Amino acid sequence: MSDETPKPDELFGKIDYRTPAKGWMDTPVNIRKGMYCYASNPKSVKNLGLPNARAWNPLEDDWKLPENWQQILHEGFKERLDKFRSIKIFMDICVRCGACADKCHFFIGTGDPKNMPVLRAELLRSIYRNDFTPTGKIFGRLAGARPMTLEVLKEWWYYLFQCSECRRCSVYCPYGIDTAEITIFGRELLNLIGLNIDWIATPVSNCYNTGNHLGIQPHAFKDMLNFFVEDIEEITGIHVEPQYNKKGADILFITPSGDVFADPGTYTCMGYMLLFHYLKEKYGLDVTWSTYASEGGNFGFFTSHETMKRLNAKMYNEARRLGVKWILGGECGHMWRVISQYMDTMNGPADFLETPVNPITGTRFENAASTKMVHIAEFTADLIRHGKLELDPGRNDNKIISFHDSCNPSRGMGMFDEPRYVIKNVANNFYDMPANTIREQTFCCGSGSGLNAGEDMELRMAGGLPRANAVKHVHETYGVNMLACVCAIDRAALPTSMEYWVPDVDVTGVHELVANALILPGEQDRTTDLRGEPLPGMEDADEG
Amino acid sequence: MRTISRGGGRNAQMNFKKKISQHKETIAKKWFELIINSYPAETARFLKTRNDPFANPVGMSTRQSLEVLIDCLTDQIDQTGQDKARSALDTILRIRAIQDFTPAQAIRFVFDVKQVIRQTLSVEHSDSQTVKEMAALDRQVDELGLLGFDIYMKCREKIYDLKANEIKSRIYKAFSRAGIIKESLDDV
Repeated sequence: MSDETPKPDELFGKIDYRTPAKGWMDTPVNIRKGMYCYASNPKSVKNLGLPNARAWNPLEDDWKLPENWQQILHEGFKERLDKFRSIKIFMDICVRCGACADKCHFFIGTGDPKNMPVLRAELLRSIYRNDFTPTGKIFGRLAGARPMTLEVLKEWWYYLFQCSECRRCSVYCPYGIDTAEITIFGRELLNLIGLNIDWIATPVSNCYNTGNHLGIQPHAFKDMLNFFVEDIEEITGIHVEPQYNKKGADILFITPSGDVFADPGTYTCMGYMLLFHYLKEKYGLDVTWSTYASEGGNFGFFTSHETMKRLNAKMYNEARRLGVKWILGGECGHMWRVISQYMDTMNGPADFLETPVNPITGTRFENAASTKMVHIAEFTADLIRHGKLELDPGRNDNKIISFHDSCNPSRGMGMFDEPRYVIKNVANNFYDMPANTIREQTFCCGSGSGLNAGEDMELRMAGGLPRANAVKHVHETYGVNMLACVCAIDRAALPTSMEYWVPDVDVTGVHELVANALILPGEQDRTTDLRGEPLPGMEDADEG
Repeated sequence: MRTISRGGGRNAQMNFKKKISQHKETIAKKWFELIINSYPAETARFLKTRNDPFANPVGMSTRQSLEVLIDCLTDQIDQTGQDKARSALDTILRIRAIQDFTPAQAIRFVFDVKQVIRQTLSVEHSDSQTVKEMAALDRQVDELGLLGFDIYMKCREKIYDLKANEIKSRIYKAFSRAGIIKESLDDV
């Protein structure tokens, strides 16, 4: 051991006495193609009643801001410092210890120091000091303060949309500063003067109008699920009959619309449908889908508190309208942070619903006593724990699986073991990634918080690098070929990330694996999985 | 005389490459410093000092790949060696292709190794045979650089492919499977 202890001169030798050539305040923002998302469509902004709806381009000098934009931001800042005590504390308390600095996937991947969470927050703090603290007002730059200028504003916009609000940095902060909330707060300020991105604004507008991000109307939503019914029948020989908008059902099921409309989430969706069918046949479980509350995701969360509240309210209003007992939620990411950390004081408590009880096992979900909403991984883990599912994990034997903890279900609601428990019961080959890349230390997919657009692909690939690097390790070490997750954005983002970084690894939802393994009463001999690919040992089965 | 001379040349070449191998650690360290200093100072500090491959994937994978590339310069040039070089270059360039570098800045590091070796082994002050060997090595490095261009471009093309095809493969596939899109994508 003693040999490994560095000698003083070795340590001194490592000290870099050079100051950076330029301080961060003097390093101008360079808005680079591939690193930002397109500005919002004015129609969407107008539809939501948000300010300053107009077409604008981040690459042009003129961002078409209101004349008094500085005053609007100052007053918005002040109002929120009074309203959210957390923000006031986060502005004051940071000692710039740097514990968070190298924990951000965007910093690790881009190498841009302004993506260090401390520095990203400092972009806002410098204005806070200038506008609201005596030391900042008197000492200016010496106290880390600077006035709000167009350059600073552009820096805010560029870097606040290079944070996926994953909260990994917060895990390491000795003061518990929630840097995601600083981003949320900053984006809310930017929205006051009409600086949003279209990948967020248009889904929010769609969701506000039709109930889901893609703007799919109720009949098309139902059509899509009916197509899955046909696929399921072809693969299993079982005709499932999902219920829609059923008044008086026991449980309302809400999942992100990505599961209904985008691969590979669609297979996860088929997984839910098969599970519900099984439970209905065996135990009489009464679950309904809603074609109105057809979105679990909430991009309002990436816009402002008010917008998040408006979208979240729809789910609870629909539960009230249908008269269900409680809500079961699908495999979604940020939906669960909204539910676990904001819903209760925003639209809750949901007193008109009952504390969720699994009617099959009798398990009472005390963790959801106030929000009345249970994650389907918790629900399925409970069923398996009580021996209520007949499973053949061998059907997943051609999949060597690892699990990506999605940021929000892990750090936002503390769900680590339930998905792993489910996977280990429905499949035989499971390997976790290294400890500092999973559970509460999990790395973001790189595309969360509304950044999953096509135009910012370089940003997404850079942000996805630390996660992909850990996947590459288990791929090379254990032959992992399937990455499971419980988030629709992950299912949309990770296949692209894998294609760039680890091309031999595919992505699946946990309930796709469940449905592959589930032995349905009366099913035909299954030769393929839900993707139509041969089950292990069935490679030579007659396709006809 | 000729035979002796040729034999001497081969020996000198062996010795030169052996010398590089002997000084591999120093060369790798200096080369790593150069590539890392292409990042802003605050970032470079992190990339240099954090030794966990999962906390610092850029720094660690770059360091490992440079060591492999030095081996490739000294090992025999065969298919295995070329595959090794390609894989090591890919690891570094796949990262630099998405970072804030121009194509030249991204690939520049390959050519930097010439100076690193010259300085480390004091090539300019060596005998003429060593200078000759160094010239041969320069050409080998140039080849690596050219291979680097190919890899860099492949990464960039991949990014454009992903941009173009992501939505299609994600949404359209699901819609077409459901029969919502009447015309089969395969027929387009």
